[in-house]
Amino acid sequence: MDKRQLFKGPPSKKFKSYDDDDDNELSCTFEEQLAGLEANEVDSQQLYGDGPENQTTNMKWSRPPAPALDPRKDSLVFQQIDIDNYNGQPIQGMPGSQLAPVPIMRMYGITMEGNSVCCHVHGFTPYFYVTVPANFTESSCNSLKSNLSKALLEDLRGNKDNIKETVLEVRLVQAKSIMYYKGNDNITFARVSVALPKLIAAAKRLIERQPTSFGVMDPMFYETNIDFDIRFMVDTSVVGCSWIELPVGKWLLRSQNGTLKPETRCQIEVDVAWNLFIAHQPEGEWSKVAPFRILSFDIECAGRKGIFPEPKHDPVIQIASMVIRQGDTEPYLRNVFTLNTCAPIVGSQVLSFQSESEMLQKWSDFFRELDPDIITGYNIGNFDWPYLINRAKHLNVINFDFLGRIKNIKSVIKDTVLQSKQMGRRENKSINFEGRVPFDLLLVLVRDYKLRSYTLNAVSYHFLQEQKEDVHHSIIADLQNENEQTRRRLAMYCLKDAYLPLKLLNKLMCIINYMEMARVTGVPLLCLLTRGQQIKVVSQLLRKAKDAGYLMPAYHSQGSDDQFEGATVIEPKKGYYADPISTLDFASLYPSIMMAHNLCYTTLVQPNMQNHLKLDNDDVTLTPSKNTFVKANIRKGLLPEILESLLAARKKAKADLKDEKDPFKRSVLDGRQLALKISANSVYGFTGAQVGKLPCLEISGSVTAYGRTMIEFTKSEVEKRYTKANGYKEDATVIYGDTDSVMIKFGVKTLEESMELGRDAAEFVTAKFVKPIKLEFEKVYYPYLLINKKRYAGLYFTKPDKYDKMDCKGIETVRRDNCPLVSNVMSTCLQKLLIDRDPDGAVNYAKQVIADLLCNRIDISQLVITKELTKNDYAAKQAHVELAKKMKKRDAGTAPKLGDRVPYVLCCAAKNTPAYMKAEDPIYVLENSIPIDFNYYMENQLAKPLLRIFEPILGEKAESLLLKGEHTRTKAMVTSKVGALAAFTKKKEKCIGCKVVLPIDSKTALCNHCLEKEGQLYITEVFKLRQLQDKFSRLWTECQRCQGSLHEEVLCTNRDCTIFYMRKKVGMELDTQEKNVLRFGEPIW
Amino acid sequence: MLFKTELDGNNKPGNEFQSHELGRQTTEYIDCSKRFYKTCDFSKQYAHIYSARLNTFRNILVPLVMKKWSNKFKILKLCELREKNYTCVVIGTLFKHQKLKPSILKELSDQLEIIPQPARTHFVHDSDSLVLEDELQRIKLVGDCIDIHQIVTGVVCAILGSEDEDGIFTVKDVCWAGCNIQHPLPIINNDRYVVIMSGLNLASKSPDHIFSLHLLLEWISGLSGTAQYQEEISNIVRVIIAGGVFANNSDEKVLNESDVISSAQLVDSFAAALSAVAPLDLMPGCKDPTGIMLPQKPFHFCLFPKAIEYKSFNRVSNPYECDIGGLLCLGTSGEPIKDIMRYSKLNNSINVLKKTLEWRQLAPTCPDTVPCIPCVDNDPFTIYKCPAVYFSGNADKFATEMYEGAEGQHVRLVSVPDFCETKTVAIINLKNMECYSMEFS
Repeated sequence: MDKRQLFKGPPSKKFKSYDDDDDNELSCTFEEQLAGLEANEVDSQQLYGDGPENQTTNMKWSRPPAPALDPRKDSLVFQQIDIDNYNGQPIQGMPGSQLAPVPIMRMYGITMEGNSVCCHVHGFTPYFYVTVPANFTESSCNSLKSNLSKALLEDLRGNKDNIKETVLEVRLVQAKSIMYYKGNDNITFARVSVALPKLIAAAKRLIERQPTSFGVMDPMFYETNIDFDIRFMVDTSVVGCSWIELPVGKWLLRSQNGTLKPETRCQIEVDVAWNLFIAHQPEGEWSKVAPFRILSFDIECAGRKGIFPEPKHDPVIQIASMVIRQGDTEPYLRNVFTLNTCAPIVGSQVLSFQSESEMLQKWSDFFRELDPDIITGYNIGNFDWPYLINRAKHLNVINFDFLGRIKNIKSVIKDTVLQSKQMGRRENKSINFEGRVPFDLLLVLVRDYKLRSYTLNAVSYHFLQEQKEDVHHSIIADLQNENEQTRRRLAMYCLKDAYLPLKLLNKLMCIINYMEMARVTGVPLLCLLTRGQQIKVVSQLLRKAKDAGYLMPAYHSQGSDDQFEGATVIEPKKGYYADPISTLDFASLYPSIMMAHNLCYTTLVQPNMQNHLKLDNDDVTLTPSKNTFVKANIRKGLLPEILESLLAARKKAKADLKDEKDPFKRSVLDGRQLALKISANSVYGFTGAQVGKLPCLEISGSVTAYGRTMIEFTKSEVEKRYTKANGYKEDATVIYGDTDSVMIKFGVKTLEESMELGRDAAEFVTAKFVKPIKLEFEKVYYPYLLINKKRYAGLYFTKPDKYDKMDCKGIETVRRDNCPLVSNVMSTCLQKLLIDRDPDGAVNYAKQVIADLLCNRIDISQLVITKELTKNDYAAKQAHVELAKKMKKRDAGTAPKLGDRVPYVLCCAAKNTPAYMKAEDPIYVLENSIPIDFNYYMENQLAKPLLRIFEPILGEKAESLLLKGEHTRTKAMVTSKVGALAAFTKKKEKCIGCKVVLPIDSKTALCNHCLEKEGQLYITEVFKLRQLQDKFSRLWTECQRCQGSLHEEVLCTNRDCTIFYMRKKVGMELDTQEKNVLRFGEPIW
Repeated sequence: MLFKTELDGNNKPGNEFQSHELGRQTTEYIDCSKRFYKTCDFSKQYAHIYSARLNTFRNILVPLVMKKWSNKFKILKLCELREKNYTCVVIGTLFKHQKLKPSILKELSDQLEIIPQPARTHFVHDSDSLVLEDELQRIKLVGDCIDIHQIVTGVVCAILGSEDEDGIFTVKDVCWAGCNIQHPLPIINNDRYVVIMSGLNLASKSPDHIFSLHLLLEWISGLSGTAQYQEEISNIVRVIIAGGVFANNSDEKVLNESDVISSAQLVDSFAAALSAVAPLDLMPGCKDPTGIMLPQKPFHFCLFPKAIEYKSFNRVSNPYECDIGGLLCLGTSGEPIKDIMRYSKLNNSINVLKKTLEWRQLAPTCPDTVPCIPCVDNDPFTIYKCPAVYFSGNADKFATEMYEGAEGQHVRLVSVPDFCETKTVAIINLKNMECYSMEFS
């Protein structure tokens, strides 16, 4: 045990018994990682000894027993889900170097019967290419080999791995570089195979430093920056989540009493040579999906009041787990581990423990016994896992962190930064689970969906129309400390939080879609979540390049400021169009441009090289951005080929989808066609990514330039042909054109006509383009509101009888820093404009809302703005931060903590008070009737978006009409119960009828004057009461149903729920109204 | 002598139109509705009603369970269910998951949707599922002996069965609370009639039923028929109007505040005219101008400036319970019964009345789908005493049935029709508990 030490540094892939520096980091800035290698080389890792054995305690927990296998008679077929590599001892009879250490690949997966498999793949060696001079011969190869080998050995400080032979082989190969068309002659490369993946970078560095001592001049390196796992998958044609078959007699089975001992927790552990297994392509029978075990879990911590739970202080009190088999609809296993007793829960297993250490211990035993393939949950990567691991460490729980499938590797937390164009910069914690795939639903949603809020509440409401009961963290400790029933209540809550991610995964088909994406692009599943878009294209490009005899240069990314002009739009003719607007779209515009014009790395002709290469002008295409590419008859590009196969596959998937009846297979196919579409589009992005692996602005610039000219061309063709002069009813005008679509006003009045003309125009223009560029008629907007570039809304018709949907682009409906009122008003106005075709109604509605707002008739939940409290010391003062401080002074226990979302409304304050000081807790506002700053909401929230949609209709006068009209004259005055003057004001009763102040001791509701109208006034008040009562009962019964219990009080404080503030407000209003009605006297006399 | 035969067999011509003095007969009357007078505290939630209900029924059900299954099975709480497939008895509140059940949450999110949802009046779907909930937990129920479409949320019962591996409870038998034991009915020697009507709908703009109302008024006042007939009329000891005074319960109509205000005088005059000739119990209905939540308080006196001058004008609560000549009358304005039909496949109001009697629950779906005052200490809708007359107002048509309980209970069930639609009232003879309808058109 004394060897055990806390280890730092990247743990993602580790080695069995040799110290080593790390190689391939799970990070996008691969180059930086390589550059930083030397600094890290001292960082060593110690052998831990094996973690605990898997237990078998529960039939439901364990996997079905593995069948007895005989490699001489049986073949083994499994679906792999993760691939990694380690340095190990060579095995006799396997190809590759026989001198330890050798890199060994591991493929993890499960069989159709649900048995877990780990397959060690031997003999695959890392290699790279370097250009050599023309006079380089076989013997030069030998000297390169021995020189480099020597240099590498010297370079290895200490050589803790005890590497004896660093360079295994150098041989000459004939190939072409992927970059530029330079004729068809191959050039000579030296293919250098090295012992370990990490030596590639070192070898490159050494050769670069002193090329001449290795017999090369100006060396250019190829494929030195390819992840070893990807390299392996490319060379063996394995794609992500594909099926692997080990044929009879070609593999070895490990067993406890054999010569090869199992090193993993998998049920079946085997060895195979890298060139002897069959990698099935995911087609036909092999598109099936094995019954993966998906575990979803959630933990509860008992935090101290007002402080975000810290693993050093606050205990984990519950862990709920739900397990589902891929393809099932309901989880087959539900359990909750609780600290202290917990009353039983029907349908779920409850395991109670008196000590927290024991609970954690048993849960990790459960985890290992369960042996999940995919681990999901909500924000588990950044919260639950790190908390569990750190807490276990703090409590000295032995063996907790052996969570991966390799017996002697612990799971550790490290920070990673993912920078991608798609998502911006994200800091995440990553944890290694060799052989299992952490699939945090939050990450998936952040990647794939743009939402107002990403809390589990908001997300489940958005996708499932289900609200989730939310227990405030200040109550959690109380519930934990009370009795077994309150702990049960907590457990129910915890179970629900574990269940929802599964439900969402199922509903959104994330697993299927991601698997299909892995298969299409050929990368492991895990990469899709932890890496950017590039690796997907690299994987595809490498595969094609390998088949066609091209090599990929190792590109040094340098931030360049070269900008190419982006996609252009035709200047919009803003306005509200009551006539149908036909829309023509280019189908997969960018991919089809690349295919049509054969744009690729391999077809790009360097400037001034055209003559040198003796290319006729007929053989090349000059793109609108003045780049030259050879045509397909000279050389077919790789990118067009990739795109063709992607789009052909998509076409096929779509066709299959049409015929398929089985809902599960349908979802697979639909996931596939979507993955294919996204992949096709990402190819263009790859060529334009300037910090990427192989950017090529000539390609991406040409693509966008083509796009621009095609839009312009379409416009002029349409406007030339569809004119009165040519016998059409009206002159057509193109009112707007965006990246890949053109909106045309043909001037016809009916949908049928506009659709007919749209179809006709699409065909007409398509005929003028190079194949496969295709302009498609897809939809008609009728009516159409064009606000500005990328901002429009319209009713979307694909068939004349009924609209498909209301389509809004770029309009404030999901902006997160708006209050819900804005998006609700916007969508209602748009509905009135587009569906009801009632511009006056829309204007009146907007006015009404403004009037309601000023008269305090808007529900407060509509006005709540929510922001996350990320840190306390913002440079500029921010409303939510100031409010959090204020609330902390009031009650530290319930005040928002770091990471909480702070809801607030803006309240009235003295003149010139900065906005950040005006924020107030909505609950506090309700309870103390604090006046809300309606002007702020009107001017800073509603005004701009409203003006934007109404300006095309009302023109210049929109502002005066909407924001300054008669309807803004009446304002409600609310008297606050707190504040400087509140103590001095005394409320006098007023007559309900005429509001005249009543004598002080008066007990009646009305003044003498109004008494004769008593019945009438009473009825009016009763009607108000009835409305409130109706609302009250509907709201509270809803909450009762939502929490899933009739006999227990609703505790939920889910502030994302629309009902939350409404519920509070209606109760208070109802009490007031009840008192009002009672002023008429008790009905019984 | 029977009312009806009297009407038909009016065969003594001659002296029938002679004038003679007749006094309205009286019967002892006690208002027993105290428990329906609830103070409102809207800081409270609905959980308390369910808890109180479950408590009450646990006390009712335990002896019944012992009797029904002769002590063979243990009565367990759900949290005590540790062994799988162990047959036992569980007492709890039924709850139906119904996907069509209107939800304010969905409505709020639908406001933002573009395609409007069709309005529904019946919320039963094949996917409805049933759970039983006790104080702490709930469990999913399956089994043929409990038909989900014949029951509704909020009923408390005891179930016999066992939990299976998946945590689902298979029901083998059910024990309902059943009708309470009835106090012996008093013997009344003379014909004494009670008229029950509902759905006057006086705020409605179509006045065709007003004529019928006048006929009714004349009839009760004894302004029609022979002397003998008038004598018979004098035996009407009480008129109960079971809600729907201003507006009836029909689903479609949206009630207008101004219509109610303008009809207030008419309602007052009618109530005064009726009170002048017979004791009148006036119950509010779900659309009448008083709170919407059950139990509804009586109408406010200020709505009846004329009628309150009469001692015989009696504003009462909904639900309403009273003792007339020793016979217990219990009834509602019909909303709970209608609601049960909305959420189940029960479609006959008499059947529903019978069901609620056997569930001992006036309004099981209250508070789930009927607005309800958030009571704290008890559940006002429990039927504590077996009534002799059990009615429900605002039904589509008149219907009646004599319920004969296993313990010899006799309960006159009456579906009181909507007067506006049917021009019909129900008449019960307290002497022999017979019940008729009478149409005024």
